[in-house]
Amino acid sequence: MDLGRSDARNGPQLFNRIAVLRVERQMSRNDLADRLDISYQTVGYLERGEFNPSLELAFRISELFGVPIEAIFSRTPFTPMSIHLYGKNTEKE
Amino acid sequence: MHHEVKLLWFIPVNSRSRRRGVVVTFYISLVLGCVFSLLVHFPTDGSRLVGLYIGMVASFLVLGASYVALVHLLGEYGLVGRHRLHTSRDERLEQVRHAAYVRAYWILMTLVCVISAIFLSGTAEKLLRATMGFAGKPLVPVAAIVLAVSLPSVVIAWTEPDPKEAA
Repeated sequence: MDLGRSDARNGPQLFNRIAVLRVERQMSRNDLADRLDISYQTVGYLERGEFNPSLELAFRISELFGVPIEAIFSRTPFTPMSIHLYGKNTEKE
Repeated sequence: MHHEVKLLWFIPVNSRSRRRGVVVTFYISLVLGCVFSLLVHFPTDGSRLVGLYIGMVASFLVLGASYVALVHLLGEYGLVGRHRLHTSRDERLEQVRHAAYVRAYWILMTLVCVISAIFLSGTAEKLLRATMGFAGKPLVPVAAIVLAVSLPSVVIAWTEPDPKEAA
């Protein structure tokens, strides 16, 4: 049993690109946690989509990465960056 | 931000099993402290009485130490100490803390209902009659307060995963 995980009270799961954006900027979880003033475990929960942030925290994340909120969070799964950049996945075809 | 609790700055101590060990020690020492405190009021010989007093003092010392350890391990949850209520910007920790208070409340409510049922059934009446005038009676509300105050910390310590597992 884990009190901090996403559940019915925490709303439906939100998908996010926090891990990708963090790695792109060569930040560790500790670095990101320090910059957002949260614990590094919370960064893990956010990245795995097990915890939905408040609007305030979402704005802090958005300001930190310098991208709009809708580029970080989505109610539907994100398509991989490679497909965005190079078009359709040709492996399956 | 608090990252990981370490003993002597390098031994990680904040694992779930260690937290659970502290919780078990806390409750065992609470029960032993109460039992020793009650037993010293029964007529007994001198050497046994000294042993009971030593046991009582040792139990309460362990109780205090284990509570300090528990508070230290849960420092980032802001229950007591430097990370006080409403000072953390970590909303997940606040959510965990709130859930722990609610869970502790339900546990205590269940206990109150069970104890009330025992009293209503008449079982406790015999016990009360047997212990009438017993000097150790004030210990019961004290133990109940310790249980109530420590329960939210205990809930978090028992349920939260290992920091590495959660990260």
